[in-house]
Amino acid sequence: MDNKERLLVYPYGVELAAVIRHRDMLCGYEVSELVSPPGWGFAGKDAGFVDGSNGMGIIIADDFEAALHNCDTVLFGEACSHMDFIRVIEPKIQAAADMGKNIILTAAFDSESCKIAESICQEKGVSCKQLGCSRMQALLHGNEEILELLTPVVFVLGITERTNKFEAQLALRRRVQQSGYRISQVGSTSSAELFGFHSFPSFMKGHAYSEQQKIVMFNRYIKKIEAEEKPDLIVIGIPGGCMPISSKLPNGFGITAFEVSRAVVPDAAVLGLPYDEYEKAHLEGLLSVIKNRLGIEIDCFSLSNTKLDWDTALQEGNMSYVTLDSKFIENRKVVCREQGFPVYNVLNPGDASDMADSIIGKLEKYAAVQPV
Amino acid sequence: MQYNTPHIHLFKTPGGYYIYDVNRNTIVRTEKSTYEKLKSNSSDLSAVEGDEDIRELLDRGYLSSNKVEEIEHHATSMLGFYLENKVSALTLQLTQQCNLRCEYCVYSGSYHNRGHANNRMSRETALKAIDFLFTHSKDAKRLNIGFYGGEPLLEFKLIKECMEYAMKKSEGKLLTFGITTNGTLLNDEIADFFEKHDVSVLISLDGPKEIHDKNRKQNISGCGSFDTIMENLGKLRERHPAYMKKVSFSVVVDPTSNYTCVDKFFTSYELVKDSKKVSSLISSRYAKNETAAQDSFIKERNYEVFKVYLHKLGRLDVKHTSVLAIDEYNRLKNLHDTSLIPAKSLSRKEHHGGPCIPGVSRFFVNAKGDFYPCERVSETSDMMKIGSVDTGFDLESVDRILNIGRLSKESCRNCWAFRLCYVCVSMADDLTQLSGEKKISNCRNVRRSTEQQFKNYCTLREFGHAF
Repeated sequence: MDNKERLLVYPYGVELAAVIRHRDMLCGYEVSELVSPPGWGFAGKDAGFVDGSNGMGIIIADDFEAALHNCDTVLFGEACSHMDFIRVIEPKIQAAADMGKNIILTAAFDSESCKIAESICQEKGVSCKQLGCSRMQALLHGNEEILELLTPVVFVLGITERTNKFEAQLALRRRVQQSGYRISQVGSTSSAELFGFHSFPSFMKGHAYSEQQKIVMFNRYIKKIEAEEKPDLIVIGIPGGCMPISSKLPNGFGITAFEVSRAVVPDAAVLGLPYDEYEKAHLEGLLSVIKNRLGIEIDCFSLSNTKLDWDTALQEGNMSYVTLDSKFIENRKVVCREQGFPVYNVLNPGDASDMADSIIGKLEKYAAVQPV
Repeated sequence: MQYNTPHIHLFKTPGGYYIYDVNRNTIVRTEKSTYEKLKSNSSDLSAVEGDEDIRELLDRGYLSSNKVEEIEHHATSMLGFYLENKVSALTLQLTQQCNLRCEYCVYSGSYHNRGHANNRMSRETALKAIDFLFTHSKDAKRLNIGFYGGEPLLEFKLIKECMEYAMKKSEGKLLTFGITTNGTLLNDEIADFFEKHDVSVLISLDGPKEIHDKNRKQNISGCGSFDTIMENLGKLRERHPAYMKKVSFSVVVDPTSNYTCVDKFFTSYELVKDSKKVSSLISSRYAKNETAAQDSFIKERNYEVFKVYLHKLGRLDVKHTSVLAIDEYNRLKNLHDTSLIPAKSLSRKEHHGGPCIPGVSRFFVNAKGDFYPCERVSETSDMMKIGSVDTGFDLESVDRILNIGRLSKESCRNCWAFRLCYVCVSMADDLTQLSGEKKISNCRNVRRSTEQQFKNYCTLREFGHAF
């Protein structure tokens, strides 16, 4: 008998679309309800609506209390960080705990909010699990030497957020496992833990360590995973954007991508692109910048159906996006391929497999010629 | 890159010589000799290509003759998605009636627009429009609902219903409200309600009593409205002193009035001096007759602008500067921050500056439920309608309004002010059709005012000002 817990996902939005699309790979959970806040206008729509993709066969609701009757566990997702914890989130945690539901929190919650959630759960005797808070043993010891990895490594990175990075990571995972290989993964979002792989280590995000220490620790972290899990392949999803967009849109400056690229040398890399009408010169320029700045050779592009909304972004001083339909970007994909660039639309299931196969194929060729 | 006829604009200030390079979207300071060589060879650079200074500019990627080939706004191919997912601001015309009869009002009969009328927005239409906002804002984190008229406070009950309805639906979004009002009906009940829900209030106030009351009169009595507004403001401040920071003023400056008096009022009058002001001249768009500015007005205003510049150079205390003229400086700052962003080249396909994406930046719903790009277009012009609460957006109309540059393609692609243009559809509307001729009639003013901005900007830079 299947002992999977029924999972209610709140608030369901674009950040969790990849999770739902690949829900068959969740470890120990079966998605029973998707609930979005009424203000998002998603109620009654198919789950694929949120990221402009095909139907996923599960309908979004907006009544949280009603949905509680059809779940065992409630996942409070990343988007909660943009909502009022006291007014909106805490009452829902309370309602869920009152009904005996277990709680899962993503790393979006600060420590104060986590304490409140833990206290509520403890009182009601339900579990409260926070993702993205792996307690690592000290990884810093000895010198700053960067240790070589013996296992092929694939990076999945994006120019900006919203480039379907996690979708690409899950597509790779699926195909690698189908091909019979053992995969270890570090995901770009804490939802990775729902699929049984590692989320991006929290020591890379905080201020507890210097940037040099973070680079060394990340190297040690991946080396540890290699030693313990003995995979055939390691896939690392790099959160955030990998470069500044302009002086007014620094996009995190690509610091995390830079640090990861110093810690680990990849054997293959997938670059997520926000949608635009790229010409040959643009893509060549991007390949050159990534190579020079990060030392990474890009093997293929994953063209997202999300466009950067320049006007709003410049006005607000924050990244702002507009969602396009997944089918709309097919034309641009074809144009880029005709110019010789391997571009994929990972929301197209055929493309997702093809992209994964091309990466696996490349690594298999490398394995045939191994320096000793 | 082609170089023979550089796509540039030359101008000078008392302190320097400048090239505005359209492709690079950059102003470059140059020597007088270079300026004069460029001026003498503006249609063909080949005679001076060998000149050392010209060569330096060419080698650094300036002086290209590249121009746009096709006029199309970058959002055009994705317009459907913007309209489906990126709508973020809604303005509701709750009523076409008003308790004032302001002389310069666009609904006064002096403009090619509708007049005051008894049309009120029904509750059903208002709520449909609010639903439309929520279902078309997937990619917008912040939503704003603005109330407009006529005088929207004539429909306070409807305002409350709209706000309560929207707030119930808004979980997950950051929702804010605003209202544009003449301020005469702002009683205690309304003030308390607005304060409770943090509504931004924009009150129309034109200056001291004698200037304000000249144009802004009560409908029935014909008396001025100044005293009533001040009384209401006084009560509001007493009841909710902290909330006054959400109150700002829209100042329509009458060019036949005394500029200094208006300015002094907003600098010193107790109830208004600490609030934000947005000033504009009496609108000439759709006007049946234009209001000419008096010489004394122009002189006073220019002097106040000059004093603001002196302050920005650290040579005059702010207490001697105009709170209205600061807008001129802010325009220059905007030029620096958002308009003069360096580029490599004009694209093959691009649209001149000016148009916003109708419906996305904001959309205006009139009392009947028809959609317009904003409240500044004429409701009597069928060309301006972009949909309705019942039919949604009309993609074809939005496309036509967005790509207004297609009416004047040759003129636009050759114009040095291409990137900095501010002409939008309201300036091309001759009420029967969208007119290329009417659109082009604005071009001289655009180039003149843009060049003047460039000169002011460069002069401040010459004196060491950092924007």
